[in-house]
Amino acid sequence: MSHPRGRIVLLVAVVASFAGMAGARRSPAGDTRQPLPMSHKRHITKDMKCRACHQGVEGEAMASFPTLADCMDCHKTPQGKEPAEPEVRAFVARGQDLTWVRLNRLAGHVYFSHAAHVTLASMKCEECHRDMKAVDQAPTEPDIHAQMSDCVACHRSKHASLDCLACHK
Amino acid sequence: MKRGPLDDDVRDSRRKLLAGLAASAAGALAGCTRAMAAQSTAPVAATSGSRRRWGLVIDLDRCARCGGCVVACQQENNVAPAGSDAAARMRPIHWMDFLPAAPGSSSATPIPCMHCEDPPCVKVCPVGATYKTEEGITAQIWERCIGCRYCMVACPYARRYFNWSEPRWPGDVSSLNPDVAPRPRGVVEKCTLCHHRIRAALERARVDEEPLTDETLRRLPACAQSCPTLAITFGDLADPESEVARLAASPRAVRLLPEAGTRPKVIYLRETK
Ligand code: HEC
Ligand code: HEC
Ligand code: HEC
Ligand code: HEC
Ligand code: HEC
Repeated sequence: MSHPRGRIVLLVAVVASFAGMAGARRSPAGDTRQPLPMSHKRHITKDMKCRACHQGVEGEAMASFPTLADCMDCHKTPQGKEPAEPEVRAFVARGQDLTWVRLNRLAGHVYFSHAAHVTLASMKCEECHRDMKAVDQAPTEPDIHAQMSDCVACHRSKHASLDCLACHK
Repeated sequence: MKRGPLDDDVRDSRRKLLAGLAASAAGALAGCTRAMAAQSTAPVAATSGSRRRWGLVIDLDRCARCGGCVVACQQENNVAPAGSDAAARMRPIHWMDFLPAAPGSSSATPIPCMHCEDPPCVKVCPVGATYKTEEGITAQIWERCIGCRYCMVACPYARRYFNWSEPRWPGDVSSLNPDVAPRPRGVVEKCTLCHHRIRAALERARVDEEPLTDETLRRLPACAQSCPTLAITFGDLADPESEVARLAASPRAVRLLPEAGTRPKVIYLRETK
């Protein structure tokens, strides 16, 4: 019936596809619009707090995203064994920048400040965002779907500002 | 009780009603020497409590009428330049504008929203889109505005503008100031005293645990910051130590249309010439 060579080709194909799946499990893609697949879970440690990469989160309105220079603090030399890891240095070699895709974005007429919540109100990221310590893939969807009533409900309960101009611009 | 710069000025209300704003400016700037002399004897004092009263003092002796404040305001607040069409219909938008020279005054007068203590525009808004904040700014929430324009009729200073068309900026929208939302067609807009800068300064001071000093406030709004002759001073009128409060107590201090009973927090220092 079937040619022995054909059987070998099929076998190779099957093995390759399993390897591919295993590879996918080991280095998850997540949001493919991001320049690099980076795992929050692997990066968030005792010495690596959110603010190391989201540098505005304590003092500014915007949490902001890390630059390639921030990554190179560690990735000048190889870190771990993940296949995506050398990509960080490849960006430097190509003279390319990291342009992260931002997911959470309130309406253009709304003012939100991380400093006000994280520093002045001592809130944890997880009170509003998903728990990033458990996130292995770049998230593909925003985790905050804020209606004005959500903001106002908490502000009312915590006696924070209810002035329209506090949140509107 | 001490008299504050925001107290009703009884003398003001006795002044005869003037026909229009230009005429009023003339009166305020030139014709009220006696009243002003009397006012100079009134000491400046904080109003009750520690509530801030944001205000501006504009010194017409210092003002060179260069128009820098008008341009700076427009840039800062994403006010779209009027196309030739809008200009031809007399519909350009200027939160800070120059009114024609008042008789007795040498030339034009820069005039932003007066941020009245008793703003007539607020009373007529049917949807609560305009209101007075706790710190005395006459605010306008563009998202809430339904464009009925009652407030424009109510404002004795004509400091409100309707967006007759969708705003268009030369070049790229990415050059807009992200701190100020552009206003769509069909809503009324106005000066906010650069509230976004005040909000940022207050937040900065709290986050850094530094006191917010009068020095950092004096040139905070774009108009004051851009003024080459330092004719425009911003600050807390309720703080007796502030530069604005000190200037507002000057014998030269006048307010526009005092007879309207609006009690503006924009105070002019009339020319001495
Ligand atoms: C090693 C750097 C790094 C660390 C540490 C880090 N992040 Fe991130 N974060 C990123 C990058 C890069 C992105 C965008 C790409 C992605 O999602 O993988 C991002 C995206 C996010 C987003 C999605 C933002 C949006 O709306 O687009 C949230 C939320 C977030 N991080 C929260 C956190 C929190 C909370 C912590 C700490 C517990 C943290 N991050 C620690 C680098 C980091
Ligand atoms: C504090 C040092 C440090 C910084 C800063 C850092 N990394 Fe890493 N990174 C590591 C270590 C350690 C590993 C290995 C972790 C592992 O394999 O479990 C790693 C692994 C990786 C990997 C492969 C594993 C994964 O996450 O999928 C990628 C990709 C990566 N880093 C990207 C980045 C990017 C992009 C930045 C900048 C936003 C960055 N790193 C900043 C220490 C760092
Ligand atoms: C009170 C709720 C709240 C808390 C607490 C909070 N965030 Fe956010 N975060 C938001 C909202 C809302 C947005 C969208 C902001 C916008 O569109 O202006 C956002 C956006 C972001 C973004 C993407 C846009 C940006 O600002 O750069 C990042 C990254 C981020 N948050 C990280 C963090 C981290 C890290 C922490 C904890 C240190 C944190 N956030 C705490 C509500 C919160
Ligand atoms: C879980 C509670 C909570 C939620 C949700 C929340 N806030 Fe807040 N927010 C606070 C608290 C508490 C403060 C007071 C911080 C302080 O001034 O000490 C605050 C302060 C602020 C400030 C500064 C106010 C000032 O006094 O100048 C702004 C602006 C703000 N929040 C906007 C928002 C917006 C917009 C949202 C919705 C996207 C939001 N907040 C959702 C709790 C919350
Ligand atoms: C604590 C923050 C906060 C305060 C205070 C606040 N807003 Fe909002 N407002 C928001 C947010 C966030 C949105 C955007 C909701 C969305 O995108 O769906 C919004 C949206 C709106 C909208 C658009 C329609 C809607 O409901 O989504 C209007 C109109 C509005 N606000 C008016 C006001 C007025 C008037 C006040 C004062 C009485 C006020 N807001 C006070 C946060 C606030």
